[in-house]
Amino acid sequence: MLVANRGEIAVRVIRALREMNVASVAIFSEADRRALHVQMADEAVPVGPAASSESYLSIPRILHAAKITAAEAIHPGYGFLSENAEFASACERAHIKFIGPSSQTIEQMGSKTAARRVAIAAGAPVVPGTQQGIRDYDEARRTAAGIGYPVLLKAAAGGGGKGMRRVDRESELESAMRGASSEAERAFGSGEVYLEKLVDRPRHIEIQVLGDEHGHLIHLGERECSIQRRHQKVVEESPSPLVSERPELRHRIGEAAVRIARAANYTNAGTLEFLADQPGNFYFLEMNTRLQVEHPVTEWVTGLDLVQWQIRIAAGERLTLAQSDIAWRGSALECRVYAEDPLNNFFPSPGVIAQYTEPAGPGVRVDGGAYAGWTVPIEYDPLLAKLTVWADSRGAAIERMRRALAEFHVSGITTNLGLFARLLEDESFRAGNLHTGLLDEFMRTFAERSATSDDHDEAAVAAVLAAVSAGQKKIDGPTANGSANRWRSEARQGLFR
Amino acid sequence: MKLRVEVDGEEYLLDLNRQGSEATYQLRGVSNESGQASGLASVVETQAGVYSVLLGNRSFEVRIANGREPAEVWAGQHRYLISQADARDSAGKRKGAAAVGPQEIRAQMPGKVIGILVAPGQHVEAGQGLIIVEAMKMQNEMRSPKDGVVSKIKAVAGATVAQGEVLMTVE
Repeated sequence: MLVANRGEIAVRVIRALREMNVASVAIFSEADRRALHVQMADEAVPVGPAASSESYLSIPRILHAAKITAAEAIHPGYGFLSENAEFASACERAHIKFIGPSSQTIEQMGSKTAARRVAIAAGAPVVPGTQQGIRDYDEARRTAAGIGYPVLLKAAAGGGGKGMRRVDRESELESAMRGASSEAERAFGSGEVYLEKLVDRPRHIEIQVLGDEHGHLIHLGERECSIQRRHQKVVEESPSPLVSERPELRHRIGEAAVRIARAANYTNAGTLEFLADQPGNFYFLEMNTRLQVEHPVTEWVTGLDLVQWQIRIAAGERLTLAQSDIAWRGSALECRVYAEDPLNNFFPSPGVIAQYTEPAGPGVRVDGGAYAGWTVPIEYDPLLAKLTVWADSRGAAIERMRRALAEFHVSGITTNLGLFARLLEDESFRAGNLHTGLLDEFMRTFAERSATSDDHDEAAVAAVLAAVSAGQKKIDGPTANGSANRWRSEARQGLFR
Repeated sequence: MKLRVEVDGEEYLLDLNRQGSEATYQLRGVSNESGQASGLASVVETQAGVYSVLLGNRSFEVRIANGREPAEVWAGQHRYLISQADARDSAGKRKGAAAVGPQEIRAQMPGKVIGILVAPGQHVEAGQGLIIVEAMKMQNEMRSPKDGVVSKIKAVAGATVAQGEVLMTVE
């Protein structure tokens, strides 16, 4: 099987393949010759220059790589070509199995407006707003007035926060529309935007579904992904604290998700994203027709291996699990470890990783794609690793995550590890009072919180003594002048080495 | 032995005395009166770049990322930039003068200039956006470090820039 991706998700898929005794083929761009997924795969094929448009997004080059390695199937991972109907269709034509739903389903559910029509037809609740892309400002003005401000402008073809704008009043609408449309045009090749009611302090809750190619489809419960920066998730968990308060919600949202997925003839793994308000009303947002970044939290609480199921389903196997077979146990949390600087507006921080040590121990899982000495390339998403933990309760999972974060060490580049350590101490987070603006609110005081700490002074002393010791070791090399450095030779005899 | 060390731009005096397998240390801030610590310590390198430091009985794992001056030193989850005074250059001194005199706005990483928000001769306020650089598909607006006047614009919209390249100057 060829893995048409890079980084941690390529590593994740290769691990599943190894467990299933399926030979793996990695692809890599010129920027990724030294990437971990290339080292881990059984075979690896170069697919072009660093620019993803000429490598990881090049359908002909990837199909060629599949052909020369005689790959029977392609796993697209997430991002890149994973939700590209044209790619799925090209695989179908080349008689290479695409690990995911059919190209028709991707096409239908990939358009937010079309997916919304499917959801409405399936009787699932949706956020009030337009169903089609807005034609012009005049239509936008009338629609926004009809549903009431604040409203949200969104790209019809995209996701990940690109082409998204909050509009609080009519006077901001025209310029926001222009901005959203041009950003959408740049990111997705289509400037189509639509408009919907903005839910205040919303929670992002999504349902994992799994369907085989024989008409059987179930859901694996929810993940809450309300901790976001720039509309991108950074912390995810299952169960959602909202669902823990109202256990019937899982079944209500889960049933709605299954209805929508069935209406779309969905097969393989997919995720239906919902917005929930604080009282527990929920609205279908969009569907991701692929494996999700945060799938490990569902794997923790259900005990299922989603990637292996994806592969088995694609091979034509029946999904042997009934809905009633799915049981949820304990609580799982994920932190996405990025090469980025939270104190500089989450700006990416590529470069050479000097040291890299992953945490281990009870209930800890790391899905990583980085190692010490590797240069994080500037061309791609700066996700280094996903740290997930499991424990029997949410509180215990938070403590376990705190412990694991303290064991996770990355130097040479800036990461958001320190941010997570602080976020886990946040009262609202600990209480489970989540909403998608929580991280922004938290960031307003993050810099101050970072500056104060109890054991800071002692740690600084320890750092100084180690640095002095390291400095002496260097000076003590073969070129050292003994007479001029009496204290250094003293140190060499005993202590600081 | 006595050493001058700089920790995150603050200067300290370190007095170390070996006693058997351990050492006593005394650390004093040069300008910071409260920066004082003393006691008994033991330091061993356990792996390349990884040190076990015991301050009394308190145990710290300290990691030093090599090849940098000042050194990037991590003690647990705290990160410090440390240089020893005899090896240091004027890096720390420059830092103190952050917003005084002409300020060069430099690219923080390789990328592409997406937009220039000011014109030469324009008066700008501290925090005002000057230029947008895109890297790793993210747009970063670089802001003015001070109130002043844009004296020079070297960046060209659409051009790629290298890390550390001067984009413009605010005086």
